[in-house]
Amino acid sequence: MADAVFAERAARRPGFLQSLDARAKLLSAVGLLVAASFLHHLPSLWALGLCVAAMAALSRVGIRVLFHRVWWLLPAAFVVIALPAMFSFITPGEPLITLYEAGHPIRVGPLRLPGDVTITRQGLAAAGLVVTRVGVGVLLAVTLTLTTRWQDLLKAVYTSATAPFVMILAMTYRYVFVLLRMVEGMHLGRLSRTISPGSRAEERRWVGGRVGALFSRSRHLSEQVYQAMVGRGYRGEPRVLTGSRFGLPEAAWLAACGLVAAGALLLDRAVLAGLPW
Amino acid sequence: MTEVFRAGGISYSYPDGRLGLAEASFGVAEGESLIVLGANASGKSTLLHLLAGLVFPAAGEVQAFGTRLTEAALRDGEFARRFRQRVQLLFQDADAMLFNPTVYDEIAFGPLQLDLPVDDVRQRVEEMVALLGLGKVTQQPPFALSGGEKKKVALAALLAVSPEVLLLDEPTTGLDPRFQRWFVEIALELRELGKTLVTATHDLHIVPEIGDRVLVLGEDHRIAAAGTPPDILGDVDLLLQVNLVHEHAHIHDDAIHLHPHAHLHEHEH
Repeated sequence: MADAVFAERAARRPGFLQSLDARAKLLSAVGLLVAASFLHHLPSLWALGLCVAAMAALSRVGIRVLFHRVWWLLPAAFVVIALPAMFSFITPGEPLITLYEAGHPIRVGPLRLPGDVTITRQGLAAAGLVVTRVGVGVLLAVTLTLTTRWQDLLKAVYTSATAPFVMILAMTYRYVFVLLRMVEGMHLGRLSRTISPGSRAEERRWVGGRVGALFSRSRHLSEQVYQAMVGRGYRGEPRVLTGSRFGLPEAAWLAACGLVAAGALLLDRAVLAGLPW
Repeated sequence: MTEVFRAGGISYSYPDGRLGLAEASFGVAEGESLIVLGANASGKSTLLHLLAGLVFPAAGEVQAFGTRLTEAALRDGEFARRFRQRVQLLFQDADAMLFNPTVYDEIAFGPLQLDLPVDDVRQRVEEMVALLGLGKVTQQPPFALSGGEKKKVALAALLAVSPEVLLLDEPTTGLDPRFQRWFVEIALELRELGKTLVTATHDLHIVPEIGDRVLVLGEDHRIAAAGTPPDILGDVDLLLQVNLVHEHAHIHDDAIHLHPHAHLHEHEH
């Protein structure tokens, strides 16, 4: 909840990106993400990441906050995606570190395992590229969410086709806070009446019971919300106010992002392709 | 005087079989302010939901503006649109009503569903924001509001539809005295504008200020009495019987006395 309130406060600050229309920001973020996925060299990805960080700094988003939100995701990306790519059985190439060497393939039942397991130079480069690409992508997403209010972001993706999904998403976000307050109330209510801690089995029973109670209360609330919607004229087709202020600053912003993406691609293909990265 | 609602012997039971309301018959005249008094779980909210066409009676019938209010009638898009435009319900739990991302969107929701042009919707929202003094919170999400602000926004959302009838479910419960006063003043203004009000409450002190007539629900979910505010509030036995006042023990000069106890204006015994 504190994170959501912080993001809302950051998005309300007067700043460069905050002053732009959410649709323009969303379009530019998607465009830069696509460009990042076509970059094959680390320096071009770093250059793009630096540009994004500079935009965030211009928008009064603290660099520390930004990197704090980005870097904790990278170890997960490394373990799940990049780590296997480092090994010779995924990315064959010039061995850097040999972890296991049998000289011939090993058979385990129907499985045929490689005889040598090494970390290759090409594998290391591929892993570095994947992690950096994920980092730049997350940097873009965090910059977008810290400079755009949640409701503006939702309106930016609102079309007649997406309307039901957007509405469900908006209401889910809204009522998560109500349910969180209920959970907090239950926890504090129990804490205030607990004299000595119960056994683990009792704790499990209590948690199970509260999950059931919360489900029952959320179901009751959802019925009430639906009735409130019907009472105000809802007939199955949601209509919401959307307002676009797409003007000259937004057009200039999109053009600038196009230039940054083109510059990064040019650097990647024309300059770095011939260098040993 | 034209009747807005006519309820004839309506009964309602919840899906789990509990009785919500039993054999209630009454009418609501146009421009009238009817107070529905009753203890907790006496059926006040159920009665308002029945009048709002959100639930339907198991027995008896509700007529709204001369038309029987049924699920089939409300499936007719044109009738439903006209009915929802004329009748709006303020829920007891404001959180149930505030499902939009911002206060501005919340107020705009009702007029938008009634297919009003976007410029008219924006104008109505601006009017409601100015009327209820919500200028500082229009871009805030509802979870960031206080209890009183939530009720104000919920009321603004209803008034933006410009309804003829307002069904108000416990509008002052759990709110501070300043907000209770604010609500009484708004209710009086709405009455001056000719709106029909049906207010469910157990808050006795607002009854003589905003009510023309009172309907009292007993704990058996039946109508226990109907009358003017002075008649109802003067009948202490009735109020004791329906659990709206309680007996209160005092020690005076070493002797214990029992008094009926209610909160009407000041501490009255």
